[in-house]
Amino acid sequence: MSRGRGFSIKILDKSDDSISILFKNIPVEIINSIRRISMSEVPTLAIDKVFIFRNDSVLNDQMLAHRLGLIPLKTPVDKYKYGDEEGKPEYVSLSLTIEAKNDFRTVYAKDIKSNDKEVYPLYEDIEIVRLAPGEGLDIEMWAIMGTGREHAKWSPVTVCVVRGVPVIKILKECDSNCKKCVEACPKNILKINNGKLTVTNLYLCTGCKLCEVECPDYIKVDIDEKSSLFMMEIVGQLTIKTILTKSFDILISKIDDFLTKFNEVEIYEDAIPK
Amino acid sequence: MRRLDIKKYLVSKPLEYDTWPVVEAMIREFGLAKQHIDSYNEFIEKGIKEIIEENKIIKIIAPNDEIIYEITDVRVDRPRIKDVDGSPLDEERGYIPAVCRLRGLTYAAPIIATIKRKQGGFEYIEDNVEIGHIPVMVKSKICVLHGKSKEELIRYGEDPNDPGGYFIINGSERAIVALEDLASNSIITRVEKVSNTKVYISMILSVKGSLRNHVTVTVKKNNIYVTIPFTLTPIPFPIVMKALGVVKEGEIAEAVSRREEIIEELYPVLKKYESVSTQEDALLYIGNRTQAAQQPIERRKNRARHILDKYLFPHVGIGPEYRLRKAYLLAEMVRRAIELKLGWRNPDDRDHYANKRLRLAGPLLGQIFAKSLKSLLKDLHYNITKYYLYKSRIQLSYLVRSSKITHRFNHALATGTWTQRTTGVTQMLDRTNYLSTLSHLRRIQSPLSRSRPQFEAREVHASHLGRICPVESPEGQNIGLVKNLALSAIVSNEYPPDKIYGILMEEGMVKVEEADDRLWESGARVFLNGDFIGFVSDPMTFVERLRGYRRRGLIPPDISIAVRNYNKDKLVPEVYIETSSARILRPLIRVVDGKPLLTHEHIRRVAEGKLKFTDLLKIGVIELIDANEEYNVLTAFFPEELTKDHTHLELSPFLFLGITASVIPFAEHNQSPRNSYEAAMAKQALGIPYTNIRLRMDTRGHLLEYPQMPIVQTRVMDLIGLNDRPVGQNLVVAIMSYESYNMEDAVVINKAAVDRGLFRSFFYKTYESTARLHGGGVSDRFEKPGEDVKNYIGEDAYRSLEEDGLPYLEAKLEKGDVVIGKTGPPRFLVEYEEAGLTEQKRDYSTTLDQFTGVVDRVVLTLDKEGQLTALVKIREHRVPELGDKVASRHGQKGVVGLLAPPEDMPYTADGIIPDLLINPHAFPSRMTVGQFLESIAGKYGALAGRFVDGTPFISYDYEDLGKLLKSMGFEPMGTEVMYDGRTGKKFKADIFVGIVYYQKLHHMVADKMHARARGPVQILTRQPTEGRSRDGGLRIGDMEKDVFVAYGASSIIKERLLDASDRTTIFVCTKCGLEGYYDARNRKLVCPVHGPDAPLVPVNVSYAFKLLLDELKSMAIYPRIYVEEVI
Repeated sequence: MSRGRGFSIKILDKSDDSISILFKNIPVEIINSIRRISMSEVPTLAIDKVFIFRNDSVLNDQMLAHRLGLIPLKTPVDKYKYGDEEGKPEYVSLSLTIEAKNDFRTVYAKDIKSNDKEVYPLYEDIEIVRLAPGEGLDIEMWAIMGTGREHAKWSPVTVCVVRGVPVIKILKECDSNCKKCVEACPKNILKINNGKLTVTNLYLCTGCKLCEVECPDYIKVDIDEKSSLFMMEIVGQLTIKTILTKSFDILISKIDDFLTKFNEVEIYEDAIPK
Repeated sequence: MRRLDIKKYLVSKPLEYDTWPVVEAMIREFGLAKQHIDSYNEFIEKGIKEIIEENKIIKIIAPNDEIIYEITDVRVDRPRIKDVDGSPLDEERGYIPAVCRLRGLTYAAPIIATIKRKQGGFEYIEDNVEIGHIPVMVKSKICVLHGKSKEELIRYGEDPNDPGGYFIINGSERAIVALEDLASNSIITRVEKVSNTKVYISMILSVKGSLRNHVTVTVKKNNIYVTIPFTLTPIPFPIVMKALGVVKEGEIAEAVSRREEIIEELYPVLKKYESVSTQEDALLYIGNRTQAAQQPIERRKNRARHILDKYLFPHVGIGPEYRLRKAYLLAEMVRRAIELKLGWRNPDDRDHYANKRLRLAGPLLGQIFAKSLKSLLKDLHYNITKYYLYKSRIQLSYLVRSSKITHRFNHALATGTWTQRTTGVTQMLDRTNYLSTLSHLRRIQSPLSRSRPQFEAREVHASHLGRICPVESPEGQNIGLVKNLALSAIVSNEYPPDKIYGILMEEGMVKVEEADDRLWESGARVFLNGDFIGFVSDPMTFVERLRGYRRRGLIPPDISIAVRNYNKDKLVPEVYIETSSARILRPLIRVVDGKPLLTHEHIRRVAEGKLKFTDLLKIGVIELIDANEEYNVLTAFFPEELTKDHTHLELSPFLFLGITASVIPFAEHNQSPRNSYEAAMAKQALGIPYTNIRLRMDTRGHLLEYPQMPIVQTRVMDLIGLNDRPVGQNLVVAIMSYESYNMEDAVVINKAAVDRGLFRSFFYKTYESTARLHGGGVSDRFEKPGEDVKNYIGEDAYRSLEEDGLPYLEAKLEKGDVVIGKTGPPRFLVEYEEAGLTEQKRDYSTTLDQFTGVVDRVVLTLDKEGQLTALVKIREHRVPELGDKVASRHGQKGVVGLLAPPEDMPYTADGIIPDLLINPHAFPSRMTVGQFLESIAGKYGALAGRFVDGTPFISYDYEDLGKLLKSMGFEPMGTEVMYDGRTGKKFKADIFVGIVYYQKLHHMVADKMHARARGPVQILTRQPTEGRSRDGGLRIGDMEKDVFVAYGASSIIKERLLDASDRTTIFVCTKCGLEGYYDARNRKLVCPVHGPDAPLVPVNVSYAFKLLLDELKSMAIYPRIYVEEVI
């Protein structure tokens, strides 16, 4: 394989919270590294320290704190300190003070007040707890930067997939009335158009080969491992672009670190057996 | 907030004939702990009066005077006791179950007897006397919770779904486990081998009230004996008959049978006792063989009469007028034994459920009551006599020692000891989860010994179908002896037999006494509750007409009407009518001409609530059939199987399962033992055991943080309320290995899932401490101990306590911290007084053992003795960790082997990362195919946003599920193309992924992890203590030792068994071989024999060995140690 040449990137689909990209001729290991890093190494904000001054609800303190931690917070890029960065604030302070007066009241994520306008709960209708009349909460919280490796609440992505691209070959023309292969496909990808078997949406194919099992002489399904399909859905703390660039940054800095370390290594002649 | 209505979202396989609404109506109307509550109610209403009836008269005979006290009435009042201060504590003042549990009280109600005095021909005014307290069954008729609405129950601090049916004794919930007994009042035949000759036995256990007597007829080679209670030897059969008034030999023979073969068998026996020719002679013969043998003739005869009238077959009747009936019953027993000898009939099957009865709360309490009442009356008799002699005015309520009954009841229920032999009758109610509570209340115990094999008794019997769950039974020594009621099991209630008697006569029954020869020869014999009462000429029409009464609702549905031995060569047909209680019945749909009588119209009206289940019984559409009547019934399992010959149809095919077995989806696809394992495991799963968990202060308890309703349901689950108290979570499960982290039944769990709340739970433990009142106004005190207090353990340990000695809420406590601070007077008061140290206080604080938690709730209350009691509930948050136990619903248990980071986990083409990876090796040998089906069904349910019905026998099969799954765009087999998260590469094989309901079981590493290097030793032996709670050592057991022996690692053995255990150095005198001692004053080693200058050498021995030497010496045995060589 000629390194670095002939590769291509094609965005197949994109929305605010999801993206699918087709990478051609790029080793799957690299794409998978991006997948892994975006899942567990891109830092975001999440509530981590919870100070409970009042909790009359049915939920125990630990459970309430856990629920608060899982609320995704909009994270301003590079504003808060992560790791050994300097000159940045360490945490955002948030608070939740509420009392159910005369009726039952459900506490939602939108009831959380933040000290930083740029940091706020992403989905305001997340239910936290339901209070009975007279019950109340008085909670102070610190959101800090962290990564998904430490706890899933810091992970900026929900679903992230790197997979091979299916290649469906129709080997020869067949009797279009049999339709066995068409029916076998759970994703309904195959269609018969004017008596010809055609593939309608290739990227939906998972490569299950059910059609091939039905008509092995006519259809062949393969997975092209040289290209990969990259699909990502995000939680929303960071944008897709930020997550991807951050992931690349982290990957590159890792490689840089590796190179630096490697260059520092002295090579002893005698260590190599002759 | 109401939970989802499952029915709206349940995808079920449509059935042509779906009886589900009827099943639902049945369980809703009857409840799940009905047997106990019914039985208890019956006892309170009737049973207690019957026992009083048996011994209601106290007669005191004084010179020239006769006083009679008669208990004319007895009733049980509303729950009420005397509080510590003597004031009555009743419902209004807060005597409710919730308070009893908190304060450690017994939930009981007073028994009030009305006693009348007759003296010198006058009757005096009746007196109401409290004769004792009977524990109240929660949710019985006299319970304060009876008939309360959901809202009221919540106000009373209860879980509205609580089934009731248990007692509260000293604050702890005790469930009665029903005992399985051999049926009383019915003849049971068997063959026994006595030294190479066979003997043929018919036996009957005759029970009436508290009288329980065995009568056995033994047919030997050339004699027939009858064992009668209170006689010293067995009595020959003809003599008993003669004593009962059937004197002529011919009459005796005819009473037995008119068949020649039988008479031939009888002839030599009758001949043998011809010499005893009159009734008087026969009575004397029996009287001579009683305790009264040394007394005058008339006394002897009277004794015999008394025995025959009272103790022989008391169920037939008590008194001389029943002698003839008893004679006929005895002859019947003989007939059966002879028929057995002739090979005409088979011995009765003792394991058949027709021959079994349950002993439930009512009769069990009755047993205690009868005993304690007797002792109370004896005591009362003595007291009245005493006071009468003193001529003082007798105030009955002062003389009745009501504590006798109260204590007996409390003791029996608190310990479960009924008699010396029957123990374990009550058990602490299992509150692990809702399912385990229900199952516990429906448990049945067989009194058979658990050490002997008794294979037949342990096996599933055909007559268990629909009565006893064939799946749910423990493994090990109790297998088959501890059973559980099936869902369809209904326990019969008693109905007075005399109410039936009239109907029998009307329908053409002829009394035994009036039967003619034709009936004796060929008529069918009628038994009413085991009493041989008459004949009918045409048993089949007779029985059908009787059943007609039942089907029209004229007599209760739980009366059994059965014919046996109809149209059998040589045997006479027998008709059995049973109105007794404690038989297990099961509902069946009646079938006429191959068509079920329960129509779609009926089902629809039941579903709409316009028709009740009991109405269906009254109109004869559904019948309750007991094991005896089942002989006359041909039942189809499925409606499709019905033919013209069928008389009945199963109400629903899955009803023969018990509570826990019913929660297994697709159970019919599993290998049977797996279902049994799951039935046992479901009772260990964490969930929400009860909704009043915040109010209760149980010593231990678990709570699952996010319980979920299973996506794959069984219909029963919703019905029994398990969807309101779930016991697990739906997990995405892939079946694949993962780098050996899931070999040998380990499972890999996705760490991200755990982070998001998977299987998190709380563990609660309550610590209790009582400020005891010591004599002389001294008492313990709850306070934060100061430094001057004896046994003070350092400031740090008390840091969570406030001034009142109790910790503040949410205080973090660690192992060794004080939970409740308490001080009190020093233990040996006198010594300190002498030393002038009386002022000193001692620390009696309670410390936290083993775990770390926060204070959840603190309760300060008075216990039943009026002492201040502090209860502190500690809560520990448990996040799943390596080694925690989880299980699916198919007996597939495993421990967590790895919490894998999500990026390392495999993922599907859609990016789904499984929550759990189970190893494929878990399946081939165990054949839990049900789990695969559940997996596919669950996957479909999750994709479609529906619950899926997995009820055994009536749900989807593999192909249906595949189609459903395919309709959602997934591979019909449930497999998917998956990628390795570490490399991003596709796996070669497709992986089976689906959604399976998993349970977290209460065996957690946090409770079990233990290691020690050095630590405490036992005082006596100086060997390390045992067990985690005592920080004990880890044993090198026999098998471990063998490893070292085989390897020859002798030094390790010596180190482990001696140096690391109880090594001591003793000094042995080389002259006499005895152990010497160290004289500290002279700083010299001394031999007890040779004095200070003896040659003593140090020897290392085990301290246990030194003890042995001491013990030998104490027995005047001289143990001598020869020291050969000093190393």
